[in-house]
Amino acid sequence: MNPEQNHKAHYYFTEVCKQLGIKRDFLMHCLQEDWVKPALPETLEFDEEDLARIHFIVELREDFGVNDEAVPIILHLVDELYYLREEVASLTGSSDFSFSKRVSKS
Amino acid sequence: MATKRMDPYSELGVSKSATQEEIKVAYRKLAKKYHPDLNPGSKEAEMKFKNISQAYDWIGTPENRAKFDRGEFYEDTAQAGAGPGFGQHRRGPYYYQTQEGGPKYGEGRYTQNFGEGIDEGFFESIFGKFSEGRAHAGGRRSQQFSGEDHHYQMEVDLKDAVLGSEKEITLATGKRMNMKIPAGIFDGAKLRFSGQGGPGIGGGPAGDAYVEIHIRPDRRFKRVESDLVFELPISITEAVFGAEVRVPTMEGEVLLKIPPHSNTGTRLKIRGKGMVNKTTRKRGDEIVELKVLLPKKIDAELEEALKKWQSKHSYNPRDQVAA
Repeated sequence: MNPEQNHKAHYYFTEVCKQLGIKRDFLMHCLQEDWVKPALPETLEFDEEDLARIHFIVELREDFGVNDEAVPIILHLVDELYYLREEVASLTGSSDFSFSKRVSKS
Repeated sequence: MATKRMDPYSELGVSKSATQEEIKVAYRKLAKKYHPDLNPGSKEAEMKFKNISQAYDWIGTPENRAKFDRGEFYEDTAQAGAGPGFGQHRRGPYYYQTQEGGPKYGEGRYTQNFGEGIDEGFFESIFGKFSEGRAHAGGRRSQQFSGEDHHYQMEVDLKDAVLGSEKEITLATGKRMNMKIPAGIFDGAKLRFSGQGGPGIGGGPAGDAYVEIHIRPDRRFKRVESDLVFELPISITEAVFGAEVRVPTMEGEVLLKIPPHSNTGTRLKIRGKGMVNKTTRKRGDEIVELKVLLPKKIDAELEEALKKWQSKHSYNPRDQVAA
């Protein structure tokens, strides 16, 4: 384990449900579908990354009306997008690579 | 500081007479366009998304909308310190911030090492042979987790802790079960009940239930490590001439011989009647501390006798504590 991980906040299953206002069954569903991989799987503890990802999944389903079949596709594309952004940023030496121009034009 | 009121209708681009369905459709359309996770790094998109989220919070349901139209919602949120136009309901970072935000939010666990399979065909990479390190697409049931451990606390009487007992407990699952408290359990000990916690996930085993035992303070016995101290009142004559008196222990009364010339503070030991020692697992002792009590009413006869006695045998009981 990375020593820095010891200082990160971790949340247990029930805390995640409470904090995000989601039902236990839904969080179990996210785990069963492999959409979320807890930071500490042995003790089933989640970190900020997991919480943000679950929150994103909730928004995809509730706000965007995305169904279960489409969730993994979107997650995959989004993860790939972030990976590529990092790659481009490292290749160009810029940490300010963003899509803000595209948004502001639209 | 004065804040400009946001009009949620114009923010979502709908008229004031729009139906709830039209509001929902408008919100979804804008959310798809401006969600920060679909526009990573764009401050404009983030601000716009916060505004439309706030607008939808206010008029997204008939109840909230009615409240907002009556002007109550604005007052509530203003009093709570949440200025309109700045959605305050979201807690924590956006997902993209955790993946590329550096050490502040995370390390990008979900996107790091993505490059290993970037050349794979699109559908193959999603549905096919995902490597273990980054498998988070759907369709498979590979993750198994133990259920949550459930934690409980229970108070027991000292006697139950020393001699052991059986108690009924109702678990969070609603299940009732008999719990055997072993003799000699110590304060803070945890009893584990395998498989009685939360259900397993993805076919994993159920979690365990842990019951932490707390021993209630006892009215008669004071615990000093593994010994139990009992204060025994005795009369003047019992103190002077000695006696045999009944003394309570955890297992019932026993006869204790008080030697002649005992005094307040004299400590007598009844072996093996205390608590179980956490380390040695042997039982401590019961310590009987004597306390000489005068009769509730001192009669003339006693007074007279003591006067006579004092004239010849005066003593200072504070000799030993004098400076």
